[in-house]
Amino acid sequence: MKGERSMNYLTISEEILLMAIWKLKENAYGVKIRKKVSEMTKQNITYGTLYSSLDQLVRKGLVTKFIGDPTPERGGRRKIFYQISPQGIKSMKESKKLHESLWFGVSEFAIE
Amino acid sequence: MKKMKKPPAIAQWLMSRVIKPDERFSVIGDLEEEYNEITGSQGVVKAQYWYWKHVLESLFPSLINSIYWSTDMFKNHFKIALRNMKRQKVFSFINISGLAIGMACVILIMLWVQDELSYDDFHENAENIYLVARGEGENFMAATSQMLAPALKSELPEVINAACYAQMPGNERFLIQYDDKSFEENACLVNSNFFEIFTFPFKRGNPAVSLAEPNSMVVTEATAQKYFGDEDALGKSVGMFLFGQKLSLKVTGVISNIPHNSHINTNVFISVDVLGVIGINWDHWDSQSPRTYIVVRDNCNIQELPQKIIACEKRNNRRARLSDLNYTLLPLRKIHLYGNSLEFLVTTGDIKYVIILTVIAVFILLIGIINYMNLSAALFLKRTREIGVKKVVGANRSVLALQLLGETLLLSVLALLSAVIIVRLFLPFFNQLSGKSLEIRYFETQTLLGLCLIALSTGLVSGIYPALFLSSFHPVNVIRGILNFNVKSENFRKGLVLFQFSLSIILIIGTIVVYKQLIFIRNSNVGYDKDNIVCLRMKGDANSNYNVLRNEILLNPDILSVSRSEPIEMNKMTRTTSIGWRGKRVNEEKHVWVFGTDYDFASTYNIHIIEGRYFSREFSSDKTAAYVINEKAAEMMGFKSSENAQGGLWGRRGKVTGEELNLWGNKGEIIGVVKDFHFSSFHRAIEPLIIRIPDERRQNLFFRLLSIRFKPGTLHESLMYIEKKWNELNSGIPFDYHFINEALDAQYRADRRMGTISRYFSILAVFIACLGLFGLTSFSLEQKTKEIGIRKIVGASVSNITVLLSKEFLRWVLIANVIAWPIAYFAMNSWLQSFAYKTGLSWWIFIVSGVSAFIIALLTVVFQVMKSANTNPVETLRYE
Repeated sequence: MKGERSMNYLTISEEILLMAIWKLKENAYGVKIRKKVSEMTKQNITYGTLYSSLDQLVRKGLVTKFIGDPTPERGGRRKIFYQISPQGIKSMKESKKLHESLWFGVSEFAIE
Repeated sequence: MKKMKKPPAIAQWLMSRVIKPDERFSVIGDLEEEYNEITGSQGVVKAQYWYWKHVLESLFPSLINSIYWSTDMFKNHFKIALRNMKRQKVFSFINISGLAIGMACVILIMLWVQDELSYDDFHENAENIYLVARGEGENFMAATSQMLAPALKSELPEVINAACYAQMPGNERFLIQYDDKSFEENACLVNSNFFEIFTFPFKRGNPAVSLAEPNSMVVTEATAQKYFGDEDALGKSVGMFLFGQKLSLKVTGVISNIPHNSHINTNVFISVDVLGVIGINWDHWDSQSPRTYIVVRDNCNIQELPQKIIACEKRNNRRARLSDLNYTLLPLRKIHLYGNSLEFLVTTGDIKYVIILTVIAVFILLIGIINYMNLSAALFLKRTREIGVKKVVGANRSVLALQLLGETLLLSVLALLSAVIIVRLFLPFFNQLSGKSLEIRYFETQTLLGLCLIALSTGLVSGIYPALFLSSFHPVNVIRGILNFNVKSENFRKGLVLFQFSLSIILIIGTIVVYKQLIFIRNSNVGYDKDNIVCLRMKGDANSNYNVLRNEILLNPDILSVSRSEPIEMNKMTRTTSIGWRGKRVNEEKHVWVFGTDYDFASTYNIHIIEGRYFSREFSSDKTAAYVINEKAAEMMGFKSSENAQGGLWGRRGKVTGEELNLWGNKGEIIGVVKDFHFSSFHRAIEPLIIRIPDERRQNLFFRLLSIRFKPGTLHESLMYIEKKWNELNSGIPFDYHFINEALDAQYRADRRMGTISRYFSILAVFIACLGLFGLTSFSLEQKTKEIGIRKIVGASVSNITVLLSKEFLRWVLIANVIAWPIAYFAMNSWLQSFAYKTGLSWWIFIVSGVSAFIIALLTVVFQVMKSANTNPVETLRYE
């Protein structure tokens, strides 16, 4: 059981998404998340990929979603907002710890 | 606030197809928001580009994904389908061959129908060309006045161009001579602007001026080749006989050969002005011979045009009888199929046969499809376990139905391939039957689309029932092997057999009726003695030395009588309303046919004279002022003939003879009444006829038929003798003869052709239906091997079992008769209505068809049943 738990870390792409949502605070919905992710990773991702990844996060309970109000610039369509759940916060913290311990004592130049 | 731009709708729709419904609004909204942003910063074009790129990028992975997985499943389905086919060789063969034969029939018939419908399509302004026909409803004819075309062209703004076209009555041929070659040609007389209307491309010569001179002619390439070989035809002079006079005509143009799908199929086009050269005057409104074709302006109101044509004629023709005047416009493309009802227009097509053949093709395909439905529903029952397992591991009903449907489609594609091979093999034969030269061009979009459509629709129609039926089973029951077939589905399948055999019986009845009618026609009395007469055609100037020929021929004691007359065919005769008799009411418009003969016609043809006498050389007035009429004419004029003179007696002294008749202003006495004889096909009732002896000039023009009666049994010698004399007297004019029966048969060529075609197709239909019955029986017997074994053990005899098992199938074939008979009765009754003289629909036809279908079905079933009934019960029961 312990071994299973230890594998329960976030994947990099989950981490990137969570980070984007966290940074966007209350304004985390499709357009903004996509831009944030593209900006952070320097890669263009499509909405198809984005939404399926977000769904996965929702299913894992790391993120909750709620439906916002319609706005005119979206042709009157509603937005779906995303928010990091407490469990998500916990996972992020674990992930940060893991990264720090992983990289402890390794300088950027040493890898070469 | 600035107006929001809408993103490309198609892309948006595409996107919304692939996204889960509960997120759709959000994704579309996101895209639209960003789209608007980009529009604001970089312009609409960039934004659109971005939108599309984004959508396609999103779609691509999911597309690849679904293709990848479905090809995998497809491979699996494909393999299963092939394995099943291999396992059930006999049934698969029956299925495929039934469908293939059905499809081949459909392909062949569709080729034929397509050809029939393609007539006159090749003319550039086919849309706007119309044939002006006189009259309306039942009674309309293609012959109009030569004056009509120019009048219409100059007076009606709707009519852009108009020309007339004249053939000899009944397509009589013209003899054309060049050097020592002489042939009879299918020639016609046309206006000089004829080639402006119709698209017959010129190989040589100038279409605009080619027919400007009265003695000019345009010929087809093949005709030119025939006369002049490889020499240039242009400017060559040929001799031609027109109405018995020899003319010299110059070739001023060569057109490419006329396509086979043209209702105008003459090889030689002569300027109509040539009539003036030989002194025939058609330039008045009362003379109605040529057809008139017009080209109308685009978007012209065709409904109103006939009224305008009538008004136009009224303005020009002071003598026009207003009550009689009526015009109908027939679109060029319809002439071939609908022109048959027009007098003086002979076409080979008939919309009736297009419909009949299409129906037959659909019938046959339907029978094949039913075979498939029945057999595959039965076959799939053996695969219930496969279906059950698939259901258990998560296949839902639609997936299973699609799989089964896919198998059907695969089979129908295989059937199509076989059908194409069958078509290839049998096309020459079918061409021979149908008298066409059809070919199939596989690599034309139209053909390919058509073939795909046939395969697809056949696959869907035949696959839908088995697919739905089988995918509906409950998985648990299926795996446990409990199959509660409800009676409904069983009955449905038997109903299909019923339907198949009904169709087959209808086709059999149809074939028998067509044959019965054709035999009836052949055996019935045409009203004259058609045996022992040989007919020659008086071609070229043969008429000029007729008297010498006649005397020479009569010297032979074997030859009994010689007569010269107009051809005894309605479409080569003249029809008129210009006739007067005593007691005719003022406004009475009655048509009579006028027929010219010599003195010996009645004696040569053994025509029965009811009253009075036939023309005789002893009465000098017979030549100019005497008429013989038929019974119908006597009846029409209100004269009763002496044989049934009771009541309504009009004739002087109770007789018709002695009455005066006024034909085209020539008064004459009725000297005799002949018994009605047929001068048209049995499609038409006998109509009133006036027989006369035309003047010398008309005799030379119109006496195209020489009939010679010889002693029975002397045909060979007589013919040799006649040929010798003919060649002595008419050098250069080909000798060719025919017998009356041949000419009569030619009138029913279309009917006979249909008879033959429907016979072959009925045989096919019955064959496919039997294939299906065979398959169904053997399947059902396979299921019942144990039942049979047990029955035998408890004492049933082979015959008991045979009767018991056959009964089940044969009952349905018998019931099929009940459905087929009334339908066949109505269908064949309406076909027979097209004949004025017809055979009855006797009861025995129905019985014979029913019994023969039953016997065929019996043979199909009984042998198999007997085979199973004869198996040793030990074999079938030992595993129990």
